[in-house]
Amino acid sequence: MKRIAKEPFLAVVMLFIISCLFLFVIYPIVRVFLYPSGKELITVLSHPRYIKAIFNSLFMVVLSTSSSAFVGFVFAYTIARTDVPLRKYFKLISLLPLFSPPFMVAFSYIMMFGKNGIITAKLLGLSVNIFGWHGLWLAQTIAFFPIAALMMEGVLQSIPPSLEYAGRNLGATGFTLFKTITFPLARPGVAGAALLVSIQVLADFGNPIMISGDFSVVATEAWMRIEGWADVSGAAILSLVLLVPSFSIFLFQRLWVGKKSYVTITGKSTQIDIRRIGSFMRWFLFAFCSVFSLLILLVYLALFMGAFVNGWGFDWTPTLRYVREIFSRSTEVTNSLVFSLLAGGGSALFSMVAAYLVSRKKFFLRRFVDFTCILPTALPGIFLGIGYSIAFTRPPVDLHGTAAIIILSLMFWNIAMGYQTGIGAFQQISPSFHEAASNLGASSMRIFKEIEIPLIKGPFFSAFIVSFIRAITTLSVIVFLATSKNVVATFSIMNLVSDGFYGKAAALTCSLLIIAFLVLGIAKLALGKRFELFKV
Amino acid sequence: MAMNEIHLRIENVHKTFGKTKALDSVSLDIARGSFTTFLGPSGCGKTTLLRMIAGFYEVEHGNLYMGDRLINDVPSHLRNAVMVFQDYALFPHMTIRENITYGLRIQKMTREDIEKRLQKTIGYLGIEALLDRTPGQISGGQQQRVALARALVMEPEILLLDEPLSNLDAKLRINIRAELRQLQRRLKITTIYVTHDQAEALSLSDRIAVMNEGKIVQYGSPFEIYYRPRNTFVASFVGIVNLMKGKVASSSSRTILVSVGGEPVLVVPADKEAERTYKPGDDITLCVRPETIRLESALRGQGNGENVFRGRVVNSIFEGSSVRYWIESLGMEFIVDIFDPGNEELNNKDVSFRINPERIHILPT
Amino acid sequence: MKKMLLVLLVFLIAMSAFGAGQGETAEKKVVIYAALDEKTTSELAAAFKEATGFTAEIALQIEQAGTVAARIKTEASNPRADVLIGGNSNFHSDLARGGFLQKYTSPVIKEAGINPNLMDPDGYWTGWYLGALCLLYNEKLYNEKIKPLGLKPPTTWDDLLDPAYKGRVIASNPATTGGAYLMMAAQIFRLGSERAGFDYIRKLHPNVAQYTKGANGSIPLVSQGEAIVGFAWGHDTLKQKMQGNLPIVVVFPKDTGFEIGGASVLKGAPHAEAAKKFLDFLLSPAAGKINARNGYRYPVRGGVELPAGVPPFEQVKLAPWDLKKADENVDKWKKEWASITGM
Repeated sequence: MKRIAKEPFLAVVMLFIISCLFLFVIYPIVRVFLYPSGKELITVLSHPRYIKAIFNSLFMVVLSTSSSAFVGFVFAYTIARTDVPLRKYFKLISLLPLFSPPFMVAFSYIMMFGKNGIITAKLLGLSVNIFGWHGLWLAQTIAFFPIAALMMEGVLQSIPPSLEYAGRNLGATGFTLFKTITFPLARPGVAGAALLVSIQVLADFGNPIMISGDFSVVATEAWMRIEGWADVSGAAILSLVLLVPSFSIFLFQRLWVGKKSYVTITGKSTQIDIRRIGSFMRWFLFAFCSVFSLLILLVYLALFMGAFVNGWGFDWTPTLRYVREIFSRSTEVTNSLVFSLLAGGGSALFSMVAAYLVSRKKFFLRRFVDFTCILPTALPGIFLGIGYSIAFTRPPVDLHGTAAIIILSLMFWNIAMGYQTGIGAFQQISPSFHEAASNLGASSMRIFKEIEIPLIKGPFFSAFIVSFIRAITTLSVIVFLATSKNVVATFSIMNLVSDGFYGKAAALTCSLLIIAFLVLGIAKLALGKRFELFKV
Repeated sequence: MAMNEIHLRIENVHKTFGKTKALDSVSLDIARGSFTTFLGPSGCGKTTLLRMIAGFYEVEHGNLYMGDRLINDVPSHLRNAVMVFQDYALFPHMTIRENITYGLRIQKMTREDIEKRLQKTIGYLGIEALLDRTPGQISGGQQQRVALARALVMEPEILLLDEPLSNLDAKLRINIRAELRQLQRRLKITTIYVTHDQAEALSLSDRIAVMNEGKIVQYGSPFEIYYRPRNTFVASFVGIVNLMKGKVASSSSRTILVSVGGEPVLVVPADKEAERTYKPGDDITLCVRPETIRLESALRGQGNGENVFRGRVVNSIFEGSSVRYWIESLGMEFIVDIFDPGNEELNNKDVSFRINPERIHILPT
Repeated sequence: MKKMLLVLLVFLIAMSAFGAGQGETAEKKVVIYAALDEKTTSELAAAFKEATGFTAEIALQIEQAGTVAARIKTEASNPRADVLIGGNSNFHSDLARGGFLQKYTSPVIKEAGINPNLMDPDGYWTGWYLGALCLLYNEKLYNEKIKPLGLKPPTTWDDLLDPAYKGRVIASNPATTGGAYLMMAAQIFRLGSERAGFDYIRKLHPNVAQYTKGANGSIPLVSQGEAIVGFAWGHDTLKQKMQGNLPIVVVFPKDTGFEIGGASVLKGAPHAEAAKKFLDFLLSPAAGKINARNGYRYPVRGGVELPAGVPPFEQVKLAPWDLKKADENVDKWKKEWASITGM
């Protein structure tokens, strides 16, 4: 406390961070909790349809998380630890599903793999029903394995290579080495990544709303309570229901996996020497990654085709008229870009400052800041959207119809990723830098500015990009907050889809994808190697 | 005895990483049962060479033989050359027991045999009490012993040690150093040791290969390396040295007279052919170790044919067992180590010192 | 750090400035929340301005009435909008029950002789258009799969029960959407009793490939050949068929259900008087024409010109409808439906 008194600016920053977290994270959550009455809660919870939906959701979490984690691990292993040909391209392609605005990406599965799908019916002559849990399983696996892969790649890279050398030197080769050394070491990290993925699977509504058919999950039920019945209480309750497993997984991940991690961060990074693996394994991995990369390409190809043909699925005459739609929607697209850039920047900035305070300073409510910064990971988008819509459309904070409400919601929804990256980065930066600078007479602020900031540039921009991507592709958060004044592209996509303008929706989706990829490309060019996505 | 039998032959080996040459035509013979050290500054290629012997890097060019067997393409675990890593590389997800027996279990050895080997090995190293702990729960010195045990339990033909002591504190390092040497002598395992610490190299090794920029600069016994360095790099990398540049004044069958800073310095070369090698007028570099220089009890003139010179003490430090003086003389600054000195204060005083002509080494040009 | 924080502060202040920017100065305006398509909404707003001189500001336009109504609920403590237009009467009744609406009965109803049965019996909402339920089928698939069996194209509800359509019908799910509930209720009203209605649903069930979450989910699925036949709101189906040149045929079966499109004034509306004016305007021939032309909906006021391809209202045979009964039985009928379909 004495030290804080000596640095009043620091105290102001702390106060600022803490009040922001109270206002923009805790307060909306509380509002959602308070919205439904107890009676409504019991009615909804005892309804057999929702009980079934809960089981379905849990079923999909197990199924899709396992498959995403498995595919993700194979990708990560192939990319990080082998010399399988084309592995750089596999990585690039696997980035695509990170950008999936709702509806249209899921819709293109129907185009490719439905009863009348280009692949299933036209090419293979099959009559496949994609609707149901199996279709959803496929779509979610593809949608979520890339995040798993990115996180696991980080885990694999942080295993000291000398451990694998030692194993090999002591006689473990090929699969034995993998089974006894590489995998057990990666396991805690892999488990952690899988749990984070499972939270996303739980909250996923974009895929099930299009292709789960009669198989209902909680996230879509919550959504349909609103869209179909204007039942805000029901939606609030169902998203609370969603919060229970989501939050449990989150706590479990924090408390258990966090402690079990073997990955030790040392200053010395050894050069990883990629080993030639057995030719059977090599071709197996190659085939595996090729199949999934091809799947991704097909799905996104279908999406792009949808933007350039007359009638998706029945009239394949090429046309440019839907592309023109993008220009008439330039307000939404510009808003999407501007809001997401601001939300991404704000999110990265906020989370880095918070991470700095938590990892370097001792202060009152430090644990609160730590917890609240990661909490949004566990919040389904619709939950936060409802919360903001109740909390910030009335005095004292009335942001109805403003850009601010959208930017703030997206910003605070995304602080978790940036915060975790930030904590990781500050842990890696030895406190001795800090001590050295402090010893030379620099104040906390100077140290942060002159020592820490240059060192966390990479993590900062990674956090920025991740938040940006999530912000520009989300619908569930903003559907409650957008009005004609602050409308964004995903909102228009939703309207176009429900109006039956699939071609226009596809074109708009493509333009969002292109913008997001451009931003990613610019970041990559500007930052080069320091730029890492989703490193945990 | 077996010492003369070549156990490992390195023949004209090259290795490049990208554009940098890590190993540049390295050749070396290592005798069975010997303790050989690769010594050099960081980046000199010593670890690369060790890893190549272990089988972690492929041999791009040249050959590796173990006995008569070409092992270029033999995978790491079939070479029976087991390595102890600088960071120990203990598997954090296994207990100490599991760590040590890992290699044996991979070989599918029976449980009794594993236990027998384990007991035998830990007996050497005194780590019986640690077996059920995990690497995170034991100290650095203990980790080091476990890492060594994990290698020794394999009963390797060749033991490879990659700076195994660098993460330990100074006192522990000296203790383990002695133990290691004793153990190696007892087990008679051919051992290759990598270090950048010249004191470690001198105290442990039968033979030292000094490396620089991917090449072996000198290969010889610690005595040879220390007293007869082949060039200025070896001379100054290994220990402290006084390098005197001069001109040959005259040479006879037993002695060479060198003019350094205008004064004649008498040299009795070990090399009997020296008379033929060094002709009057040749530029020459002489190499004298600080501890071979003696202070005379009384001040004497110089140039009296006994290699006694006069100079002024400009600095001194007390090192416990010795005192190091910096003495200006012959147009240079000599470093002189005096063991068991008197307590007389010599700073800024003139002294006479004598250089033993038999301890002066002529650096080959 | 100082700089970073400064940036963060400026950022937040700038955003609140964004918020402060919307001053309420012009009183001659009405703020609209619309559950209609974009084009109809904006044309209605323009025509209103022309007719009355009042600005109609479209604050929110989402095709899905539920989402719009939900927004009205969450924003209730500080209402922004004056009117909600579009969405079937159920959504309006629901809002009225929750106390989110104020009563208004337009004098135009009497003046123009509009059927008072199309208005809220409690006086909260105004019915201003009708939409009938239609069948739609994929022409190509019908020709390939059904025609060879000697069956005529589906024109009645009972045609859907033919075993030839097993697994080839798209229906909608009353549990997830109110529109689908009306479609289910239509069967009860059409057949005269709950028993007969649910019997129909029971018989239809084996033929249903999927109960879509939305009411109009059959339109894309039938168009893309995921199934052969389905049912949806006729006006939405016609609109999508026209604008997207969908390969489907739209049929209005002999006795079909319908929805009443509602409009209502919100409680605490900042411009309540203008809102009432807007409701009056919605009942005008001009508004009816815009709605019919863009949305293919039938205005409640007769004598409005309909776009090509839309059958005259008199030709569409509507089943008798009991608004009160449909409203009262929501939970019961949904439950019954669930027990039959196992959804």
